[in-house]
Amino acid sequence: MTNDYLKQLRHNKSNFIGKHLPWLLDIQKTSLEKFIAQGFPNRYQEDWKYTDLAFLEKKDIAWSIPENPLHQKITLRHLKENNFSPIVFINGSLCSALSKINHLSPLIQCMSLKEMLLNHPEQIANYLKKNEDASALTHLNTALMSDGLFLHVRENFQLEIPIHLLFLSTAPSINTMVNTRNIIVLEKNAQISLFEEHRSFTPEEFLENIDIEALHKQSSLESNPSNQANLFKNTVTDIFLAQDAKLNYCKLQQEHASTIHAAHTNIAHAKNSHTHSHSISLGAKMARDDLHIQLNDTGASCELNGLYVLSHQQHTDHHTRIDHNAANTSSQECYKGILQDRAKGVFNGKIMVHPNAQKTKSTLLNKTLLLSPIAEMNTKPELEIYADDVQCTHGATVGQIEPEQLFYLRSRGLDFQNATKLLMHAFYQESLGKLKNQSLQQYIETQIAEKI
Amino acid sequence: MLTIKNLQAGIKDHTEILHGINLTVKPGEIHAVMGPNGSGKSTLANVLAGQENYDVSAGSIDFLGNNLLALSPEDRAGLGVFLAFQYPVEIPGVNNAYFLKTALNSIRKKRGETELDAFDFMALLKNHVKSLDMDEDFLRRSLNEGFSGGEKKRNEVLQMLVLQPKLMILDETDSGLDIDALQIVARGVNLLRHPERAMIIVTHYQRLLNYIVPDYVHVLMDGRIVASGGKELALKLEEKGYAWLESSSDDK
Repeated sequence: MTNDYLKQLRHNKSNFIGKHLPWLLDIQKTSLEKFIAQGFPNRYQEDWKYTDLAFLEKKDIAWSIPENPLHQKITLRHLKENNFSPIVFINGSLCSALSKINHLSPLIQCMSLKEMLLNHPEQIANYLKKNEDASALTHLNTALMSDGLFLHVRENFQLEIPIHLLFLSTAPSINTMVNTRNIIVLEKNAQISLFEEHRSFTPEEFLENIDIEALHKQSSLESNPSNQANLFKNTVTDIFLAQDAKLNYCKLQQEHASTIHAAHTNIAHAKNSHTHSHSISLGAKMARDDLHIQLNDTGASCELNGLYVLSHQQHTDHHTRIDHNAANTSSQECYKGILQDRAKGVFNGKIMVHPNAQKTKSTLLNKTLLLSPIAEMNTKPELEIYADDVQCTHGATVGQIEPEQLFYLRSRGLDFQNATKLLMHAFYQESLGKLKNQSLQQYIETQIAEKI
Repeated sequence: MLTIKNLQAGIKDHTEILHGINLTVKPGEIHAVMGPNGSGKSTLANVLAGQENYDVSAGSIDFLGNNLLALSPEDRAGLGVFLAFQYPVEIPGVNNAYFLKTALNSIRKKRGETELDAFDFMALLKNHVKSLDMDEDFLRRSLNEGFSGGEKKRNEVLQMLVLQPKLMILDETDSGLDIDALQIVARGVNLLRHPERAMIIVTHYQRLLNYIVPDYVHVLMDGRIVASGGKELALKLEEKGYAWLESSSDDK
């Protein structure tokens, strides 16, 4: 990979978040070199066969969007509808005006990455150091991260109300990249719910949600964003669960149609810890969601659900990997999707059962409904087993609405359109029903209903 | 009410199964259609309901002055045609009560009647549930999902009670039922006997006809009605088997 644009990145060192921390600057420089050597992932790499990001190399992309004081004036109307604790990032920077960070609890340490690096760098050094065999996009993220969330939950602390982590972006006027890095640590027997939401404002939505007076005082509003400009969001989230910790994690991706969304989430599990995850993809022009689960000690378990509803020419790629690294670990995974128009979906779920992981229990399922003859789904559930006493199943289906079900409903008087709608609703509702929070379930259901 | 003339039909892109059926059903009548496996009983039931897997190559079906073959399944339901399925389909994720309410209101709308609100509907529904010895739990479950054979058939009868059709076609409703379930199902069907309502009962055995006594019995063999008579014909078939008719029809 020898691209002039990427090489230019080297000479722009003032942008490194770790410029005042020699150990971090070192890591960032190394990561940048590794990224430049590897380049953006392309379809010649097995893991990126259907999702080629090489076209990004040909674009000039700004490192980050300059902070706009106006963003502190945004009033998010939809935030008021639920009672979650919001933490809001706008274009990669924490928006303190909208975030209720200090209201959480003294038992939760919640701070922006920037602030952590300024005030307590020693506390997060370890989380940023182990990075050698990372993917190209993770290296890019390490090199160029602008901010992110650091969340540390103390032993035995349990919070039921979801923490709403909102990553908001405004339509950029030039091609722009936002690299966000989150670190979340749950100590022994801690328990929280996280709702991670990715949204983009169109210029109109931006105006609807801003204090008008502030708008008049401010002239530097990113005006006339060209329709051609793309936002590339590259998020890396590292989560660490100590013994008996429980994480309830829901991610909702509904980016604007000009956004390219990439996210890599790693969750490391200690003894008897558990993750319940639901990843819902509705937006973006192109989205890639990597979820990597490591069950590192006995009794660790996870339930992973996913739902993608795509239309037009959207492209969404879900890659999951579960490493069973210890005995008596279990995982349960079900991703479902509905593809309309020319949409293209990719699912790759890999379950690795390592030699010492006896008594592993694991199920993996991917089901997709194709509602258009030109929609496309590429699915690959994989099992790799190196232990001999395990129970594992995997499967995938791609199909249309069952004609027998449709006829049954029509023979009871429901017209074709309503019967189809009801069956689609049943299909995604089965997945949404696994969300533990009712108001979250309703909120997401409304978003999906609008799309179908 | 229903006039079937020279109906010839089969599964799409396969050979013809029905080779010219003629049948007239008047309001208030109960017709039993009996016959051995593969004689075309289920084909007849499905063609009446508008299952798109079947092709009609000739003949006509008139229902209350409408050309039934030109109508969609939902419009047939709106006119009052109801097929109780031999194998009711399981639909995970669709709540049974919600489905029944949607179905009833779709049909009421087609008839130009006002839709029922949730309160009135539940009152009506609970009444019917009681008459079938069903647990109200059924209403909260997904449509037919994980139901036993008997539960599925009872759920079909519940739908009939709610939708109050004009023409009921019961396709092997007795198959897979033990004697208790059979009695409950028959009780539900008998509740629906009405001078303005007709039934076609498709069955392999005479057993169901002990509980739902028909006015006419037709024997279907190789896609044709080979014999018609009163309820005593069913008893004769039970005694002698279908082979008796086969030999007599060969003689003709």
